[in-house]
Amino acid sequence: MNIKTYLFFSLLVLFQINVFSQSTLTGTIKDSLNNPLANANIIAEPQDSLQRIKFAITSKDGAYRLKLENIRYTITASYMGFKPFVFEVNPSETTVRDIVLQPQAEGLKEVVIEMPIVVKEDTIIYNVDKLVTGEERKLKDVLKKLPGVEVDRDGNITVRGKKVMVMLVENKKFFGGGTKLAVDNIPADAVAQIEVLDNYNEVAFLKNISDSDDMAMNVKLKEDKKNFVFGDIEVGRGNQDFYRAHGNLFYYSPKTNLNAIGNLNNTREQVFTYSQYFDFKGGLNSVFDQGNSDFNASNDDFSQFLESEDVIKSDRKFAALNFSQEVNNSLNLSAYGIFSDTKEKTFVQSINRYNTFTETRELFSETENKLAIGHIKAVYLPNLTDQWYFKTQFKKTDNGYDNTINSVVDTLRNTFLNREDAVGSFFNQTVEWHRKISRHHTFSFGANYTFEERSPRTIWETSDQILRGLIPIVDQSVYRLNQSKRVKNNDFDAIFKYYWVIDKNNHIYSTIGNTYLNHHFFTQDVQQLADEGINDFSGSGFGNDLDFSLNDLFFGLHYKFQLGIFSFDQGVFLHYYHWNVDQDMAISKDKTVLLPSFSAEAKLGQSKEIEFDYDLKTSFSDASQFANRLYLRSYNSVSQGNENLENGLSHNLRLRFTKFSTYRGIRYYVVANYTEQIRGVVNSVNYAGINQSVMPFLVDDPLKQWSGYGNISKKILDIDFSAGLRYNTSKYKQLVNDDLTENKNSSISYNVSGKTLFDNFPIIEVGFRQSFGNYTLSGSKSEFVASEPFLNVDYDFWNGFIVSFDYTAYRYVNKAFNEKNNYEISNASLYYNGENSGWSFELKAQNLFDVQFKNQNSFSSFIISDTRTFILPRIIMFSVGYKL
Amino acid sequence: MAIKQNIISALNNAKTEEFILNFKNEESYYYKKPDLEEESYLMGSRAGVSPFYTNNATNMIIRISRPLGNIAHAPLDWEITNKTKKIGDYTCRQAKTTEKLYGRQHGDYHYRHTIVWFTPEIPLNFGPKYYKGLPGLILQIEEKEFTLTAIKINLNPSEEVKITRVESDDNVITQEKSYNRINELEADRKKRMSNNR
Repeated sequence: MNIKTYLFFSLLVLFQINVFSQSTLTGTIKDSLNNPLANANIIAEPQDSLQRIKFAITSKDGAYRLKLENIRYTITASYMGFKPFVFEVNPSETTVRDIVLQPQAEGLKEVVIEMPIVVKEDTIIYNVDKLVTGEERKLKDVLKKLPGVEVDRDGNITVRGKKVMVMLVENKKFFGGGTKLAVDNIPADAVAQIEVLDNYNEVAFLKNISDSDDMAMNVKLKEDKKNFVFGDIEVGRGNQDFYRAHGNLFYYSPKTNLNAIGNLNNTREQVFTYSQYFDFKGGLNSVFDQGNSDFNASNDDFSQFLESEDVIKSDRKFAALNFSQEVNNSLNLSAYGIFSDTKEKTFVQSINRYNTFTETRELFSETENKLAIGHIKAVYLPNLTDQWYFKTQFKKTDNGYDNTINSVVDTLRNTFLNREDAVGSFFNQTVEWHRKISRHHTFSFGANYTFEERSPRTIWETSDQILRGLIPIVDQSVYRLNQSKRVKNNDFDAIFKYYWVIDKNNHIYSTIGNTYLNHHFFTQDVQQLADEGINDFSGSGFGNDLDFSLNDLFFGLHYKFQLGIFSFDQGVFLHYYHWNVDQDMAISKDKTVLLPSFSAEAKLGQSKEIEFDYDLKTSFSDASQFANRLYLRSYNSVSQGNENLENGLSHNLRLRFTKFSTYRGIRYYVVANYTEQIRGVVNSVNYAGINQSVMPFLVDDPLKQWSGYGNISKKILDIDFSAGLRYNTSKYKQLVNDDLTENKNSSISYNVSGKTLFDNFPIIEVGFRQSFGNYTLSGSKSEFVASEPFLNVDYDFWNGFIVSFDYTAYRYVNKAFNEKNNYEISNASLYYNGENSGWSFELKAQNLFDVQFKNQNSFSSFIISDTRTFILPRIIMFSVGYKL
Repeated sequence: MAIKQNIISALNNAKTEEFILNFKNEESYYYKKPDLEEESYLMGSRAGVSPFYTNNATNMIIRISRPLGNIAHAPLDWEITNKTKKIGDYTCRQAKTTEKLYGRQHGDYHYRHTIVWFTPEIPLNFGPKYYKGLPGLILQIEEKEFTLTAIKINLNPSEEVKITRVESDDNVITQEKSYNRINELEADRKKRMSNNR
């Protein structure tokens, strides 16, 4: 003890002597057979909590000696395998006390106690058994029980505010690493442990030297599920021909993994969506992403095929297979295939308020998406320091889209028919080589080739003379416009990265790479005449046949260092762009761009972390934006590219703070983002009645955007309380009828909820979400408030019954237009799975209140819309399931 | 490959060390969980890599140091505070101590305050390293440079627990002696270095 503390304690003792006098309590601790218990514990806890706690450990002959003050104490004597003995004592009255401990009734068996949550440096381990309550059926139900983990309706997982990018099961990617298929399919009772790995990299030796910021989740299976086939199958039948069938099978052995998923339903259950299709890109390891240029693909060609959440008819077929095999000590093969066929019908009624008139519109659409994905990956690990990856990905889509629009403006009624068919193919091949040369030197090489082709054909048909003044249309009783479009892209990347670890605290990374793009864009618009003739618009500025090629040679240098709890990473990327736009006349341009980046991270103790990132980003538009001749976009819109576009530039700043204390049960995170586009592409829109023509321009300072969100949760007395706040504001420029206007919108939303976590009591989650929006569009202001109270109940009772119920009410008020909307959505289910039985039965009601439509309001550049989206009626379904 | 790969990725993806504390009757043995020693991991752990043996019957607390031999540690003086917290399902009490440490660079002593959390629900006097002697198993140690936390407790395991015993007649030196030995080694090293010049 140093002198200071010594003095302090002596003073304390002196002071105490003045108040109390000291006594000694002595005695022995023995078992019921009068054998002394050595090393038994005895703790004296003063009833006045300000006094010090005393303790003693018995000697070989079971004797103890406690030096106590003359105040009342609660004394506990304990010994492993014996019942603790508790008594109260006042040492001024009692000085000797012999204690006899009784053996614990049940003998000690092997007891393994695992901590429910273990937080290591970049890893959180959840021992699932300790955290679940028994009514969980799929992985997503398990994840919702884990502190700090959130799962949304689209199957996205966030942990402490950060999105999980890679999903692993037993350390192997599950269907390419997407989260949705995993959370909807993996049976809850197969999961033993969930590991969350931050700064994850598939190539493990790159983890600490690359700047990977990905978060991965690894599901570890229970031992008894390994080497066995497990899974389940469910078949259900409901009112009005509704049906659902779902099956999945899993097999995990040390060398072979196999997963199969199949689903048929017409109840709008989204097993796999068209937008997920785009996420299955293949491509290189994320270490190669840093400092790359963004090549924005325009989504004009497929946005109409994206499935909507609210449909009046749905029919889905889905099948997927995932396989991985360890061939030998150094070769691992894996492959997956996904097939999906979705048919959907939607019906939307809306009232659109333009500046000078109001349109009532009905939109009826029918979509069919067929898609297939095939992926093969080979990992070759000849030794501990070399890793080779070969990935091949194919994708094929066949989409059909049919819609009818009835538009009424004042008393004028127009009907438009639109049919579009698109076939697309995609091929991607990558090769990667990572090598750790020595402790100080590591490199990564990656090459990537992508081929993509889409050829949508569109027909518009109406009896109204559309796009008057914008297209040279020939008068007919029925107007029929045909468009054929073709997009063909060839992209090739080669990147080499070198990591030099000077010492533990200083790293230098360098990059050299080249990207070459060759894009072809073709459009043809014609009017189909009644006499089988054709009115070709190509004489009037229509029709594109564009070759766009771009070469991007880039170099990067980064320096990363550690200073105490801080780590810094800063560097620059230098891009040299050279691009050619070839249509009518060839344009060739060069540009050099310097992109700095900076990031700092501080670990403020065990569970607190703060992170700041800045980078300057550059982006290029795709070929369609450079195509300077006209093409049709819809029955009321023509579009044209701009051959003079250049790259956009934007500043991006991000600040993130997290605290995660498992012991005290408090968790919170705060994230703030700021984006400022210095230069960017803005669509100039010219309106003529409901018709519009659109053309992109390069504009200075087109966008400023702030956003921030945070979440805090704490467990108090077995109730988990959580509150979140989200703030968003953006200022953006628009070119409307050649006027550059500045618009502003901001919204703030919050949510509060409480969830009970008692044993043998229903899990009840009650919450409230509210958001406030504020828009300023070309000088006119609008405000709205949306409120959403919700209730979720899950209860397991009578050994095997689970009842679940969820309810959400939406209420929307727009002050400026005096609009009010509300609707209520509710689902309920009763599930039975007898103990030790594979069979399960479920009665489920979807849309319990039989709500016909959802009301929504939206704002776009010049339109304020009030929309009714019709949904599926009430579905009552009885399902039988069998668990393998 | 699966296993090999897993071990490597575990090493790289979680930079923490795991230690094991075995105890039986009056003895305990604490050691670092053996794993693949990768080049960059030879630096050792901030939490130390020496195993410890303790014996309640003979009041021994021994650090089994490879370069210095067996070093006896004096028992620590504990003060139990009123703070409690949960580690896993166990209610833990906080205890504080002040350790006297020897600084090899300056050859002097300094003091370090250490906080531990122990649970009276497991009435055993053991703990990791030389932290022991509290009325309950120590589940967490908080020091400036590291935190040790229990992640798994197995009471009454079916397998035999491994305890590397140090007998009282095994050449055990005191801490003071070990400091002298450090000084000797240090002087030796300096001498060698100046000779090489």
